[in-house]
Parts: sequence; C-alpha cells; structure tokens
Amino acid sequence: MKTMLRRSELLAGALLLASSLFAAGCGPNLPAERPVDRELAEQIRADISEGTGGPAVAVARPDPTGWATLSGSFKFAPGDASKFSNPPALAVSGDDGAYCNRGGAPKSQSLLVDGEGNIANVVIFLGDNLSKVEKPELWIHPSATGSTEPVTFDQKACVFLSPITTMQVSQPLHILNSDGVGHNTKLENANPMSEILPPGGKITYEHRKEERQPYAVSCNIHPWMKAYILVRNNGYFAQTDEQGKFKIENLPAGVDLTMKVWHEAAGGFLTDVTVNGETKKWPKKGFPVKLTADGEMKLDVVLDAGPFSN
Amino acid sequence: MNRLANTCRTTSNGWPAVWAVAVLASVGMLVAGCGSPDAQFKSNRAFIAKSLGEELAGEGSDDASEARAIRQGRIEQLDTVNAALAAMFGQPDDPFVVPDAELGVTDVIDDALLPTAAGAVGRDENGYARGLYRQHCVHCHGVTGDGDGPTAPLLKRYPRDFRMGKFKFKRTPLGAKPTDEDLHKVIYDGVAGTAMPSFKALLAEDEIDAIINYVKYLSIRGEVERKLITELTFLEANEEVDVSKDMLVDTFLADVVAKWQQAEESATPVPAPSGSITDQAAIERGKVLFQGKTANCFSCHGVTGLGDGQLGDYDDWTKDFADWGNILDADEKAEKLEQYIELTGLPPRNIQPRNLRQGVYRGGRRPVDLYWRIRNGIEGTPMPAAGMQQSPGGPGLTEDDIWDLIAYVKHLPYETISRPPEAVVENLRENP
Repeated sequence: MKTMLRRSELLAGALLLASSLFAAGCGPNLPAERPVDRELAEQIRADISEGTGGPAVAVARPDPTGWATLSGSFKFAPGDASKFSNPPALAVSGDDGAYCNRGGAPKSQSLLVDGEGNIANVVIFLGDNLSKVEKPELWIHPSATGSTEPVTFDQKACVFLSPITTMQVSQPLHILNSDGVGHNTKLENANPMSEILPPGGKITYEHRKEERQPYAVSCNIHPWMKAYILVRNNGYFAQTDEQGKFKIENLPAGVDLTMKVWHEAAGGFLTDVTVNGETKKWPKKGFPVKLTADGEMKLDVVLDAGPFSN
Repeated sequence: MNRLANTCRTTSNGWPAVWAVAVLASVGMLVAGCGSPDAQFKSNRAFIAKSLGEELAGEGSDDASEARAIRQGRIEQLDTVNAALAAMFGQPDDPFVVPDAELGVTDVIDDALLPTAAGAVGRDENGYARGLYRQHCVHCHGVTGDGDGPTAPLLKRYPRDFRMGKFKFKRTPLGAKPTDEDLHKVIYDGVAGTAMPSFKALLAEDEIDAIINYVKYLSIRGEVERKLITELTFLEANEEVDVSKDMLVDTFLADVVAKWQQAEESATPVPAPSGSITDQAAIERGKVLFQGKTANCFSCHGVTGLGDGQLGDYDDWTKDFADWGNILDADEKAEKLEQYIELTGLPPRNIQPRNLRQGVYRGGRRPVDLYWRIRNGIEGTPMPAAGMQQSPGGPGLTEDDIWDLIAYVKHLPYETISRPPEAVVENLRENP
C-alpha cells in the first residue's frame, strides 16, 4: 500500500510538472503561440477582396536640386580595435582538406580590421531603389545606372577572393574558379544557382532583380567558404576599403534619402553608431541624409563592437 | 494534489488508485479544453526567432522599459501577421484562397479540391473522402506542413517542411517549383530509402491530385509567412505592418504564385543519349568523369561512391536557422543549438551524400530521374547542378557526359570496390 501511494504521488507530481512546463510556453525568447485575432483577420480579408485599405497615398516628393557626394569611414573605438585583429581559422572538412590547408588553414574573412580599428567591407547603399520617382533623370545620375561592366567573382585556395561584392543588376557576374580543385558556387538570391565549377571554369551569371540586402554565396564541397553579394538597380552603393573608407558620388541632392549600412560580422544592418562624434540609433529602414548640390557630406562613423563577432 | 493523494489513501487496492488518478487527470484535461481544440496553423517560430529573436527576448535596447516596449510592439506586429495569414489562407479546417482572377491563384490552387485534403478526416454526403492530408500526411508533415508532425523526431531523415517552398525531386532547375507531375511521382511512388511511402494502393488519382493541391497551398502559405516576417525586420517595433491588398496579394502572394505558374515551362528538357547506358564503354567513361574534377562527384560521394566524401554540411532547411558547420565560437554554437532544439524539437543533423552502391534512388530509379538529379542538382541540398560546357571543348560537361555518369551510377551497385587478387595456384596434383 505504501509503495502504491508513493507511485501515485509520483504520477501526480509528474502530471503537475508537465502541465507547468506547458504553461511556461516553449522556445527561447519567444512568447507562446497566440490565438488569431479573428476580427482583424476578417477586416483584412474584406480589404484584400475589395482592394481597399491600402496605405495613405504617397506624398509627392520634391525634385532633386543637383548631385552630391557622400563619403566617410567606419572604425571601431580604440579599445575595441584589437578584439578582432586575429581572424579565426575556418573549420575545414572533407577530402580536399589537404589541398585547402596546404598554405595554412584558411582564415575567416568575415571581419577584417586593421591595426587602427578601421573596418573593411562595410556596405553602404541607398535604401530606396528609386523605381517610383516621377523624373528618374533627376534622381539617377547617368554614371549610376545601366552599367554593363562585368564583375569578377573568383575563388582560390578554397576561399572566395572577395568576401563582399557590390554590383548593379545590369552587370554580368563572371564566376571563376582559379583553384586546383572543383568548387560549386551557390547563390542564394531570388534567381538562385548552385553549379559545379571545374578548375579553370567560368560561368556568366545574370541577376534578374535587385535584392534588399546582401545575399550569401557558398560552396557545398567546402562548406566553410562564404561571401556576400549586394545587387541593386542603381549604382548608389559602396563598400569600405582596407582603411575603412568609402565614397558614393552623384547622389541626388536637396532631397531626403535613406542610406543603409550592412556588415556580415554584425549579422546584418547596423543601428548603434557614433557619427561625427554624436551617438545615434539609426532606424531599420536606413538613416536619413539630405545632401547639398555639388557638396560632399562626410560621415566618420565609430561602430559599437557589441553586435560583431568573427 | 491533496485530493489526488486522498483518493489513493481511501482506496483499498493500489491499482485502482492509479486508475482514478489517470481518469481524473484526463477529465481535468478535457474540462481545461485540451481535448480537441480547432486545428490552428503554427507560426514559423524558428524563422521568427532568427529574424526578431533578440527584440522578442527583451534585448532590443539597453533601456529596460524601451526594451519592453519593443518586445510588445513586435508581439503586436506578429499578431497582425497571423491575422493577415488567416485572412489570406484561412485555417486548417476552413482553408481559403484569394479569388483573384488576374493573379491566377486559383490556377495554381484549385479551391474546389481543397476540402478533399483539408480539414477533419471523414466523408461528405456523397461518400467522397474528406481530410486526406490529416489522414495520411499530418503525422509526419504536421498540420502546418512544417515537417514537424508527431513522428518527425523518430525519423532519421526529417519529413519535408513545405514552408521554404523548396522541393528536391523535380524536373525543374534550382529556384523553380516542381511540376504537378513531379509532386505526383513523390506521392505515388514514395521516396525510396526514406519513411515516405508509396500511396498508389491507398489513394485514387483524384485524391492524389487533391493532396498535391493542398501541399502547394501549404507551401505558398509558408512562403508568404516568411515574406511577412522578413518584412518586419525592415520595420521599427512601433510601426504598423502594411496589410493592404497591394502588399499582401499583389506583392507577396503574386511573387510566390508566379513561380508555381512557371513550373511547367521551366522543366529541363532531356536529350536522348547517343548510345546505350548499359554499354561497358559508357560505364568506363562515366567512372573517369565521376572520379575527376570536372564532374566532381567524388568530392562528396567519395571516390568509391560510398557517400563518404564531404560529411560536414547541412541541408537548407537545417541551415535556415544557423549555418551550423561555420559557427566558430563554441559558446555561440551551444546557445544556438539549444534554441533551435527548443523551437523545432529536431536536433540538426548533417546531410549525408548518397551511398550510390546501395542502388536506392530517392527521387526515382529511371535514367531520366538520374538525369534531372545530375543536370539540375537537388534543391535544398548540397548537390549542385552539373557544370556544363559554355563553349565546345571548354571546361565543363557535355550532355553525353551526363549520360555516361548515369551509366556509371546505375552500374555502381554491381561494381566491386577493389578487385580481389587472383587465387594463388598451390598444391596442384602434378606438383610432387
């Protein structure tokens, strides 16, 4: 009898424990699944069936007054500069290991910082694709559109030679394999591709449409290989050089623009920044700038090292 | 708890006490409403966590009250996303398709066929089947089509999650949707070597069609959900989600539906081989290609075809949350793993290149099936498309090379890995 008692108490205890686990919800960080707001759902269904309920009519935008330049630099605060100076070795696996490791294990290229904390490969671009402006000729300078200059994307010693590539949709992408082993190049965008590239091989790839942020390029034969490509309708983009510097010319002046800043090692868009000595939180849509015709705006940006990891 | 204990004490025999507890517990559960609530689609929690996890964890700001406001804002936005999905697709018992003739949603999803596959299992007034998806598919693929049904954790290869819109076994290239015929083959023949059975003996043709239709519905719903969640990452937590027709139907839904509409026309044509694929010379040529750097089969499938080359990669469904092989920081990896298992219940597993010596072909054993696998690659997996010659004689493969590879792959199960040495002739009678 005593044993039975204990057994049933155990059972009851287990039930209680199980139910309290359920009540606590599951999944880290996430609130428990919530019921559907049926009223709202019905409203939305009525709206989409009748084609109503759209956003307010877009406010007419004033015309740009000329062209201007945006330039500047990205760096870490002096104390943070040394944190990322030694990129880790990548996790090499598979049968090509001996070939890929012959010059030492390939190192992560996701965050390249020089001795002074200057950050390479920060991507800065115009958030608006300017497809809805009334007078495109006033918004998009001839030098920032329709380029057909091929962009080369190469790989050697089992790493991609350019961790970040920025280009226009109209530019062909020449994917090369200058390595002694075969690779497959996988583009994870709206028009995806994953194709074997034998040593000395070349693929000419055309993008069909722009992307809202850089997309990943990888190689499945060597899963540690990683790069990103930003493809936009216009040429209003730049990536920082080894000194952390960038320059975008011929942006439309006298109008409100939003610029976006992205870095692989921060996991996406950057928001916590110090610009020209002033601490700011940039909106997710991008930060606003208004340029003066024929002028040059300089942004010297110090980034919070918090979101970064290499 | 006390009452439960009392029940036990007043019962003279121990076993009825246990029964009493069980009955009480189940009655309690029924009263609490856990018995059989209306079926609901689940949110894509892993994708939400990946996209907005930090803010939902209350880490959106260093200021505690601001972080709480951000969290609350995100929760409200996600409520709007759920309502928008319910508006566009209904619920499992009551599916809906936006009747937009211009967009042609109903060309891709036949709403007349939906009730046959959707909803509770049963028969209509004419005796026709209802709820076939829940009868045959749901225990592996889940109500939401997220590949997370009750049996999923027990399977070595997890059931397909339809919500990324990626399908492996199809005649169309990467990025294109499968044709109806492709989906039909998977359901009709099953997927050899996996838990996906053949339904040819269980379902009539029109019933298979209804399930194909429902799989497309679940997949389109899942892709639209991903787009809506991605959209939130471009919004501040206090901004309103745009749920206009312009956004939901003409942008998100149109984008996904268009790809399904293009499936038939994007099928890869299959040129006839110029010789027999059982020809010894074709097999020999295929072997050289298999082990060479132009086709590169060996780098994942191994030189002997045992599937022992690159074993460190994951499929796209697993990598959707994190690139497991490439998180170099051990603490970060442990934390991500814990999150992922809590969110999905399915520990990430490496993808294994197929062992080609078993003669089991997931996507079908016909030469044409192998042609599409090699020529187009297998979507969602590391298997890439063949690199074809861009100009005659340049680097890459020709169509005949592909057929030679098929010849060799079909031959591999019958090829010995190493030729055994000739027996040494000993103790012959004529020897003294």
